[in-house]
Amino acid sequence: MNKVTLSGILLAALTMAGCGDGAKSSNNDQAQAATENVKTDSASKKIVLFFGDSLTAGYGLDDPADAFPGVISRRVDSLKLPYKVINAGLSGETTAGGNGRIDWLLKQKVDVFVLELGANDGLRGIPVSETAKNLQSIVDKVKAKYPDAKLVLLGMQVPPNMGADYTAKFKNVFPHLAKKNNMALVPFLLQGVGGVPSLNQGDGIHPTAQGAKIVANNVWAILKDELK
Amino acid sequence: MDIQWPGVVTTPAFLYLYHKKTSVDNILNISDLSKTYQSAGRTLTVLDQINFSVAAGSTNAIVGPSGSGKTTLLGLCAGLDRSTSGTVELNGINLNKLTEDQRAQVRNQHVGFIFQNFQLLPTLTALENVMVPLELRGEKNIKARAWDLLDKVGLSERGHHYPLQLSGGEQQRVSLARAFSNAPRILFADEPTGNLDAETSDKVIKLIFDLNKEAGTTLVVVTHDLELAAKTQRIIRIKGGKLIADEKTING
Amino acid sequence: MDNTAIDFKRKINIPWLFRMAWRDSRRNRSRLFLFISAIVFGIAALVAIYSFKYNVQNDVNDQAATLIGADLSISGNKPVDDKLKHMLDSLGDDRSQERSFASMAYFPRTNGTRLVQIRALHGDFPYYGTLETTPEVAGLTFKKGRMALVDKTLMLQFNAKVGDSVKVGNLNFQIAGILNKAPGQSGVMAGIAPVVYIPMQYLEQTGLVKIGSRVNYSFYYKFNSSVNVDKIGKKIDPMLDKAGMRFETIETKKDNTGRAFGDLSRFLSLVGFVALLLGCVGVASAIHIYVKEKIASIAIMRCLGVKSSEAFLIYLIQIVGIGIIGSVTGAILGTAVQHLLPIVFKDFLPFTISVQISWMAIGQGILLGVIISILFALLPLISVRNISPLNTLRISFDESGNRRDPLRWLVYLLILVFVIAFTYLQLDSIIGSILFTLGILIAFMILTATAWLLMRITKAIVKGSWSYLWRQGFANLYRPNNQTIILIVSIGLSTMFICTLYFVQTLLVQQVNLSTSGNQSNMILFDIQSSQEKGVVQLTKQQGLPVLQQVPIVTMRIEQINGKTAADLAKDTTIKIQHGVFTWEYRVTFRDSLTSSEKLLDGKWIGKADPSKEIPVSVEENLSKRGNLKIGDKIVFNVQGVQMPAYVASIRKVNWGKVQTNFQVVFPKGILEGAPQFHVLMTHVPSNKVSAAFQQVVVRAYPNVSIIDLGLILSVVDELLSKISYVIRFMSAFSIITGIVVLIASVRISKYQRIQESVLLRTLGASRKQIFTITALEYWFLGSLSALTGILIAFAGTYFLAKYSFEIPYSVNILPALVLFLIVSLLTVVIGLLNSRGVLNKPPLEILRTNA
Repeated sequence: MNKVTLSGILLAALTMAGCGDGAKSSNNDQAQAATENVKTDSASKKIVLFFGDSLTAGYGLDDPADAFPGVISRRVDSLKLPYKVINAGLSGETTAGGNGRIDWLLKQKVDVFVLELGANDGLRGIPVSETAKNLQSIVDKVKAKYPDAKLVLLGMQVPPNMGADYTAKFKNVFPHLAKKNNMALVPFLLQGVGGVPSLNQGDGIHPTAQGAKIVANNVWAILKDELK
Repeated sequence: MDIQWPGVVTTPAFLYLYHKKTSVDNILNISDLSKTYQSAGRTLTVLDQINFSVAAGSTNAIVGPSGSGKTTLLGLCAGLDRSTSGTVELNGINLNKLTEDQRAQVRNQHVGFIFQNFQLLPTLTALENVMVPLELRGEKNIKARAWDLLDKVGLSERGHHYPLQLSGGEQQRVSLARAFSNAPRILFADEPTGNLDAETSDKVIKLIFDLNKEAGTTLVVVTHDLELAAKTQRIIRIKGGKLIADEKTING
Repeated sequence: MDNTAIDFKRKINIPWLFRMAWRDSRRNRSRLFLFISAIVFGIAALVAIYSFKYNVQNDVNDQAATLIGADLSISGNKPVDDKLKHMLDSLGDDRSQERSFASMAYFPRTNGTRLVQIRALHGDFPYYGTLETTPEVAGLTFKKGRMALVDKTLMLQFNAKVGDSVKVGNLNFQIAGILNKAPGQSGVMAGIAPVVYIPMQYLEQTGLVKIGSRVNYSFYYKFNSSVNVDKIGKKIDPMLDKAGMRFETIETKKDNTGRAFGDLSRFLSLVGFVALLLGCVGVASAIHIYVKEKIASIAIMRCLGVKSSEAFLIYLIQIVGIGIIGSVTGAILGTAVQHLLPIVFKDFLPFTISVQISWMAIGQGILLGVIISILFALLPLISVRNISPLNTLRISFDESGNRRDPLRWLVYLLILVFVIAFTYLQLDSIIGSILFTLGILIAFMILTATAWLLMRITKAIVKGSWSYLWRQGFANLYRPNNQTIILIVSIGLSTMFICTLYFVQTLLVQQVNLSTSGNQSNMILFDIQSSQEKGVVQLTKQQGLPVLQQVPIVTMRIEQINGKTAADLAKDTTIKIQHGVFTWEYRVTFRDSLTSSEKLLDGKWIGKADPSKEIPVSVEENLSKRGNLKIGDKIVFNVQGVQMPAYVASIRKVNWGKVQTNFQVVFPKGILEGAPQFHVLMTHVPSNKVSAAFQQVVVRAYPNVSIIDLGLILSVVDELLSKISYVIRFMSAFSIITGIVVLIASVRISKYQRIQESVLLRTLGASRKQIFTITALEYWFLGSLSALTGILIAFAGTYFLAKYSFEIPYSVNILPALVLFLIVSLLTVVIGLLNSRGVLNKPPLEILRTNA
């Protein structure tokens, strides 16, 4: 009997582990694109690597290509910019997980590194110092391997219910880190989307395809300068 | 409230037609009566073409060796069983045409019984055993009459005893009281003294004949007690299912 | 001479029939008492079991109610609009509201911060169960001021005490009490973030609920009248669905809680059914023998001119009387037992069984007793019609005539219909009732056949050369007036019930215990990075905790199956692969062996991969169905950018019920070691205290590691399960004991069957020992043979019940069956001997006079 419950609990728990939400779908393209890249490694195009969690992966979207990296990828293509966008988002990824995973991804060359992590840390109430430390470590690893890579940091905020103190500290991690590492910063990734029910999926966290377009605009505003 | 068994046809009123006033002189008419049993694929003839009549008020004995069919004959006469062929007419009623229930009523109205092993209802007291036939007929003053009857058989002291608490002779006297309780037109007795010692036997036999005389009842007794048979007016002898002799005694 | 006209339409004199019925019953009251006692025990068993059943059902339902704490709960993660609010306010008789969300709580005294789940409560929720707190009153009083209830583990973790303050948002709350247990607590969120209750009136001031806040809105309802809450739920569901809300009732919660509730109710149905049949056995065997003994009297009555319908009615009246007296007495006795037993065993029972008089049970018991009495009396009574008054002259039973009697079949049919109807009352399923009844019918026929065979065989083998005692003992089995069939059927059926109940009980309790956590994992640590793995394991061991499971998890997706991709799937609708197979993010592990919760269904398990070849992976059964995967099929996995060609080497069945990590896809060792991965560790913490201490050290050393403490959730479920398990054991023990009592009663009524012969033997000078031997032999054969047959039928019955009714794995233990066999056999012999004891202690004539 309670077998069902327990397995339900466990699944849910691992789902949580998965990230603000689920172990469910994620970005198909991310890994796929990464793969293709490894294989073809088109010499002509530079690589933009989106390294992030479910927001990057496009959790819950019918087509993971509708996530904001996908939107940007199409924009890059339509502008005929010499970049290839790789989505390396993984649902449920925390900064600690990202720190463990980054080496695997840095096997391929990176020209523009877009870092989108931290949301899951925030939702789990992980100490802000820990999040900052992990993010710094990731940046360090990228810098060490590809010193010429341009770095973009996507700023995150946690919802107000986490408490003013934590919210404020968390929010400050990103400008601080960007400044310290000389990274371009998108102040708040979900600007105009977070807290707007119509632009978010039922869970209230993950943007819809419509929301992702706005998110992409937020990112594009900063990223476009790095692609020039 | 008239409760009938499912499948039993409700008695139509025309059954009254079978009451033939003319034959009332003969209380019992037996004609061409046969009884056979099917046993292991073979036909066993117990009674073969028996014919006789019994006059009202007479005393009769049916005698014969064991297995001669006399008890079967008695059963048929009293409507306790159905014949294979031939007719039994009791008090002008053809028993063959009646249902089991209707025959039960004929017995209740006209017939008294005495059995070799008394056949008292073991769960009823002596008094109640005597009351049953009266109650069945829905008569009045039942208890007083039952006490009277018990008194006649000399058991007024023992009315509240159960059959098992009575001696054999006493039981047979209760059964006599019961047999006479409905003032039967005919009394059948099956080896009434078979289970009794000589002395008790004599008492019971005397009682049977006294009561018989008093009530004008016809008596048919099956016995191999020749002494008893000799007290009747007529002896019918049966052997191997056949009537071999029918003779008047000195009483007749 | 007018009296020659016979009134064939003579009215039946009803009062006289009653008088005769009464008179007939007076003689030999002790004998009548014996028969009535069999009915009493049968019905007492039934009423007591039914009463317990109804009470226990209510108890468990009440317990289940504490799972959600209300009759209906509605929740969603958005604020409700006016229209919905209007609807929500119209529901129920009592309403409570709750806002819950994650937040960081701050404990000023120890300067600690932690993610918690805030529950802001307004209203009298919980309606079922209580907020169990220390001190006890805190659960009620905290709502009166700026006070909070704080989860026990959390208190321990931050060394907080009642009276301290906790800061939630902008507001400090005084800790009014420690929260030990709360209804509706079985959500996962409680496992990750411990609960802090605050009164809702202070929620606004905390400043935590603003635009962008993630808040869960819950509405709890209590209905005072007994309305069908599930129906209401279904009615409002479309409206709720539109608003992104969902509802939960006690019933839906029970369904979601899994199968224990279902198992329990099926088991109670089974118990009810068995009680019904125990009642039948008790009553039927008594009535059957009783009426059979009356045949001679009926013949005499017929001789005296009693119509067959009258004779029939006399005994019918008597039987109804006996039935009513027996059933009412039985109902009283049953109810008394039901009331006294919990008092007597108060100290042994781990929980209280409520003892309310169940009029439903009493009503059913009496009705049942009377109906069974009549039905089973009808069998011998209908042959009254065929009893020739000639029987007074000569016993000449024409048995074959009885069998062909169509009315007899009608009675059989009536009995069958009746059993089905009453079974339906217990099972609530027509098919089930028919199948159960059919099962019993088959058991009945097997037992009858066994009896018949026994008679045939003994008749054939008993030889003159045997010693007299053996010959006599055996011959008793087949000689006229034997009790072989009735005793074998009643002993056999009783044994079968007892044995089946025992087996099923064992299976179910096993099943339930499997589900309880016991020493299983109740704490999960996840998101452990590879570099931290060793440290966490070490830390766990240092704390004296077991590492129950430790697995690496690699996230990957399926790129291709046999060359087909998601894109191909979109174009070609003939591909039998579900879309989700490609979009799902698989959490995969790698190891060299199967775990205890896995079973290989197909293919070959390969634990170690050869790096130069395709990777042999193992796929879970359901995934193989969704992906239309067979052994040897090619899958290309995308491991975060790296394509890995693999093939399906084996298909596994996974028991998802265990608290442990289970996987849809398992890789062999030697492939994924270098891939990005995190680790999950599972352990068992014995108490809140240990849990708190452990969490503290882990979080200090590895702040990124998240911990799910399932202790609280599991303890709520465990409590329920242990109650269910006790209820199952209690009910089966009780039913088994009643079964034995009914068995004793039904053997006891055979007392008079052999009395005449024993007396006769006694008269002829048989010694006490000789009569005992003869009796013992007869009863031993009856007892052992019927017990053996009953147990064998129980094996089969349990198999079918396990497979089709409970759907649990079948396994039975021989030893208890053996013990039962001996008990029943010996019991039969002992009762048989007790039955004949009276014969030996009194002069023969006295016995004949009183009992003949």
